[in-house]
Amino acid sequence: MNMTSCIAVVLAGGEGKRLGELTRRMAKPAVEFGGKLRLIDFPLSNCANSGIHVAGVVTQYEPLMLHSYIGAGNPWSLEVTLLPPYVQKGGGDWYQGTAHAVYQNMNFIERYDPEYVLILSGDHVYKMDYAKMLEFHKQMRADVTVSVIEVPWSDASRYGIVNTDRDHAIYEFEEKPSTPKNNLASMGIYIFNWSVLRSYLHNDMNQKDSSHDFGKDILPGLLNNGKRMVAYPFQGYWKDVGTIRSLWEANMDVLDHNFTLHDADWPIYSVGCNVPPHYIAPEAIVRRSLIQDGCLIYGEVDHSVVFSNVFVGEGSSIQNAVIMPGARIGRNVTIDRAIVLTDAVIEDGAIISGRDVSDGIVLAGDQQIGYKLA
Amino acid sequence: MFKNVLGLIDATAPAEELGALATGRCLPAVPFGGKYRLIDWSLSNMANAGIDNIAVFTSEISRSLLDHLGSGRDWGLYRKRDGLTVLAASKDVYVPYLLRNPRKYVFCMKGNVIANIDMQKMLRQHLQTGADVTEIMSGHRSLEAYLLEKDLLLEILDSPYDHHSRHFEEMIREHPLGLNVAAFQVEGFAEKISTVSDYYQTSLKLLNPELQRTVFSSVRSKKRDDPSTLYHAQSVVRNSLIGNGCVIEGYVENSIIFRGVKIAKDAVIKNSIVMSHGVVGRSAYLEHAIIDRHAQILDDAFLQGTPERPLVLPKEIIISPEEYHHANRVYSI
Repeated sequence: MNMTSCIAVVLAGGEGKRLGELTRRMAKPAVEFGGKLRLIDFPLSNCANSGIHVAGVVTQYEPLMLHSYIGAGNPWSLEVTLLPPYVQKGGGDWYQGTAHAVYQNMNFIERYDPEYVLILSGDHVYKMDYAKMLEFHKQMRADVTVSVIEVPWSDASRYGIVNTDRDHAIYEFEEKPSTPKNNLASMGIYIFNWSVLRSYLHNDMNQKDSSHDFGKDILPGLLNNGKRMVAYPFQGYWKDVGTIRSLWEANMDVLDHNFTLHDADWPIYSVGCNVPPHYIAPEAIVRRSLIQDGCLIYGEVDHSVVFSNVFVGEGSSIQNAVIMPGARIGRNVTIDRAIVLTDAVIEDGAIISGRDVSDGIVLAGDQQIGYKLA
Repeated sequence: MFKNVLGLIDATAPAEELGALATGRCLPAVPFGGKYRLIDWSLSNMANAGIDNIAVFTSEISRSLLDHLGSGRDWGLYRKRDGLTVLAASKDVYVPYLLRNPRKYVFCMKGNVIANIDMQKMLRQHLQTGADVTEIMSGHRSLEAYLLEKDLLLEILDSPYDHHSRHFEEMIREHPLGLNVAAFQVEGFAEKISTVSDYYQTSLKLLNPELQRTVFSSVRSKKRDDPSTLYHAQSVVRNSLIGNGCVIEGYVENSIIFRGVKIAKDAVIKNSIVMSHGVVGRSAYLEHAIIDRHAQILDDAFLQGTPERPLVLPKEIIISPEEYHHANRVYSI
């Protein structure tokens, strides 16, 4: 399919407050995932694999890591323009909301004169062929298509729920409904006819009481005006990793084969680094785990994701953990249900367990967050 | 200082002694160390020393080498000026290239040396001694790498020898005027890979983590997009170097496993080297073997070499317990 008429705008300016120390120095889309990736690799790789060639990446909170990581988009074979807030004649603004961020960058979109604009989040873990969604959008002759996924009914009240008729036409949005009528959650992935989006972005900027947000303002506005909106039913793995627990769970999902990164037909690209293969010592035990280049493993690693250049000392036991790049785990350390931060040093004999904390996962490697010493 | 030095990697050296590992590729393109190719050390040594103009001479178009080198970006050699150039090793091509190149000195290597060479120190020594040629030595062994003035190189290449049938080192040694050749001793680990035995022994030495630290400390290579290696519940891996993108369910001991290798349940791999994208089936057994890229070792196949004579299997081979398939032919075992 010819995808040149569709460009992507990735919303990557979010802070990710609930990720605590993980986003102290970087925006949420820069957070590491699955042994070698960053979250932003998913939407960018999905674009590349879907035949999209042009993407704008909207940044705001702590953009340094994202900017240096993404660059011009070469690792994803994309033509990327980074879109941080800027000043112009007469001043400038921080981005007030997701719609405001896109409004401020309409000049970027206009340069490509696209027929369709695909709006994506920079912090979801999933593999999706946007070409199929665009095909659906065209077939349904929609003004906007919202990608939705079935979530367990018990969780539905935590999501933005999309109510549709039998032909996928959307008649109602409900934000975190206490009694959901449906279990179709919006994934925050939209395809707009650019002409429609352009006029609604202009209208929205004139609304004094608007929060300038796609979910809260733009989509309900389109619906109220009778625009044709359809829900594209996505099937597959998708996870919004907004919390420490959900980030940990998504990593465990790779180990439990709920989601695979070993997929030659849908590679997730990233900025590689030059580190040697990893070494597993004679006395080491490694099972049910992902191990990245550059690691030296002398202890036991079970059901864990270990990023590059991690050292695990003799007699240590790591279970159900995510060990971020460059962490050094001493000897006789016990780690269970934890995320160990980048370049953390865990002293010999430390015991780190998330079993006693409220959401069951502990962040380790920072004195403020602490871990129990034996 | 290195603005005046051209790096030259002669990829035309014959590699018959590497047997099946050299079929379809030149010596510097032979995969090594779990994710690299031999040329990575020569390129990295030069690039790390600040040499930003490197020419690679190839006698035939080597797809694997060209694919590996790309634009040179992964070694910081993607430049608008200079950077990395690949040239056909024909006199009509490289003589004009060398004549036009304004750099005064040339570093010549064959792209088969695994070492960290301090080239800045070597150049300083070369200038101090005033030797015609400085030759890199590890103890008493020549690493067949030389530093000399470009004009001298052109003169040697222009000599009446038929240098297509001769190695550069012979031409230097047998230069009619007699050249003043000084030795530069390289410090630490240094190996030159010319034979299957060199290849196997040097590879297995990498299973020492102390040595890994030196050998891998500054080498760069083509960046890849393999995911991290996935270990299953039944996997047992000991004393091994494992590349990215593998899926391991079986037993691996004292071995080097390159990128993207799949090792099925109950497979046993000992003292072996399995190159990229190999598939080792259920209950297959490999010992003292070197398996080239994209090989398929089917379920229950049994392959055993000896420490002195490891089995070497060419790329894309398919091996079952009864027969093996290679280059559209079938052989029984």
